Amino acid sequence: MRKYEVIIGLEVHVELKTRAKLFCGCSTEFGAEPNTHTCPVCLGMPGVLPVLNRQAVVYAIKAALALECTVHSYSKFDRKQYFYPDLPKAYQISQYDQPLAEHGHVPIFNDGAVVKTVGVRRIHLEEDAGKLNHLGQRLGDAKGSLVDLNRAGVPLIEIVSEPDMSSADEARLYLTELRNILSYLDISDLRMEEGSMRCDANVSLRPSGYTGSVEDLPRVEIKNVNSIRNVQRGIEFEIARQAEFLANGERIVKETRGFDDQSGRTYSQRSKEEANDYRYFPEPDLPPLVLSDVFVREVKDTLPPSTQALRQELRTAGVQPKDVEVILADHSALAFWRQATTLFGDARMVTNWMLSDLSRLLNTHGHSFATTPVSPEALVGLLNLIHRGTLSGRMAKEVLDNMYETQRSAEEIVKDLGMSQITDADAIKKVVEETVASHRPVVEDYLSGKEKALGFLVGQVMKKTKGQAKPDVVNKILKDVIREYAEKI
Amino acid sequence: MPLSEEQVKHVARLARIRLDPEDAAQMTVHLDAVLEYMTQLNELNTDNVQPTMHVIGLNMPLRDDEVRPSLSVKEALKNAPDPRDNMFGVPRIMDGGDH
Repeated sequence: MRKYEVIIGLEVHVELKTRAKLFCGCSTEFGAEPNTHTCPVCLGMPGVLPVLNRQAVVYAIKAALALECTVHSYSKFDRKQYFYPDLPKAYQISQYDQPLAEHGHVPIFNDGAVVKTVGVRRIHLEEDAGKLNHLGQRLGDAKGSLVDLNRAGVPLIEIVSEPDMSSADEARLYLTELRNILSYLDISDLRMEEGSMRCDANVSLRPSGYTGSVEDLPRVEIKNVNSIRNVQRGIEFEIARQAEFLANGERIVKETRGFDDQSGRTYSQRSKEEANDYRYFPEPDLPPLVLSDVFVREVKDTLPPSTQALRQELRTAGVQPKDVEVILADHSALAFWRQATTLFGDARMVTNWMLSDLSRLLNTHGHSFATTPVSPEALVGLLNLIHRGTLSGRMAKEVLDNMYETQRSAEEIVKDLGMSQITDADAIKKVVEETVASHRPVVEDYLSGKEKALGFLVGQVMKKTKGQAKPDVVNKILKDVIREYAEKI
Repeated sequence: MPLSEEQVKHVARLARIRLDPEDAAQMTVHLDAVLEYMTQLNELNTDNVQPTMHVIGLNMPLRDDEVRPSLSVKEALKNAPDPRDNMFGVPRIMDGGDH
């Protein structure tokens, strides 16, 4: 019996892809030369005033609605105060006790089935900090740091979940679905490796018999992990580490920990008890954000179909639940699938070819469905040849490889290489008769009940026809010929 | 005295203000007097008053999402005590950051 229960809550920061920053007109472009996108507002010069970017508000509302939150008609901004060199004003403009939205839900799926629904506690708007480049290998032994403030003031939403997840796997599923939902809204690049989506995981263990509140349990926060996989690894490690503490009767310290990708371990950054005193107070430079019902409704009208609706669309077309999740997780895969299925009726066949052979080629070449050299039209060209019986599945794989390299159509390739499946029964029958004549002992074996012998004969026929005969046709003709042969003797 | 010297030291630490022990003691007396004075406000009955978040009485003005020219790097770094590689050089950070 387990002696504890795992409690996980996630805080996800998402950079919104507005053109300009949250409170000034500087560009949000990623990867620009250091400090080329700064102005007196985002540098925190005295006497400047922030003015809120409408598009950032619209994007935040979109996220809130898609996550089934209540968007508050009245919210406000607050100053979160701390000293750090990436924060030029020495406070971050954020939202504290009256956030933009609250009380949302994210259903999480495993192989297409809902596992549970994770609550979204709140979503608020805030500004990003700058970027520190440490001089030296690690922060600990750095001689100093260089600050680039291009990112300072880039709009973020923070999405805080309820502590509803109880395993590293559920955390992974939550992040996956959250990213699915947000990606269809097209409000962020969501690149975890570039930091446009960042996740902090709060992990605590509740010993059995503990009757106090979850909030009072010692909570460990794993900071800024750069992939969903690593969030999962970090949580797994943290659960094991804390479980050992509990088993040894030791006290778990409330603290912030980093995650080391190489070792898969979390490490202590500092204890949280002291530092978490941000002295929030209402931002005097920004009046409250009052949103009319009309404004929110107008944003709602621009929402794309929900991921639930997309799931339904794929399932109705006959796509297997597991494949639905794969397609759903990739915009361009869904676009590809839709285009291909408009041209070719058998959605399951489209899905199979997309997710097996084409995906294999894409992975090998470092491409994706966004950059695939084989277009939906081209793939459908190939599927049509299979459908018409011109190509066997095995031949089609070869043709697809060739299409991928040469970017020619399936038909051109088939014509050029003289490939085509022999469907002409007379032509096949001739080869079958030859085969039967030259493999009498095997035929005898088959007649005496060895079913496997037939497979050998089919193989011989396929070999002689260079794989161009249709296997089911060969099978049928072979049986006919053997029956004739048996009647003769 | 409702304000402790520990609290004063804590607030000083958060604000990165160095307080000598005698300063801390004196500051505790002064700060406490200020807070004491402010407690007069507690005499007012505010049961039916909405908390004031802002005094201007405006709703949030919003800006279009348009990129405006930024400062040149030279200008941006003009007040920096230690500009290096077009960035702001800062001393070693002792404590891990959090936000």
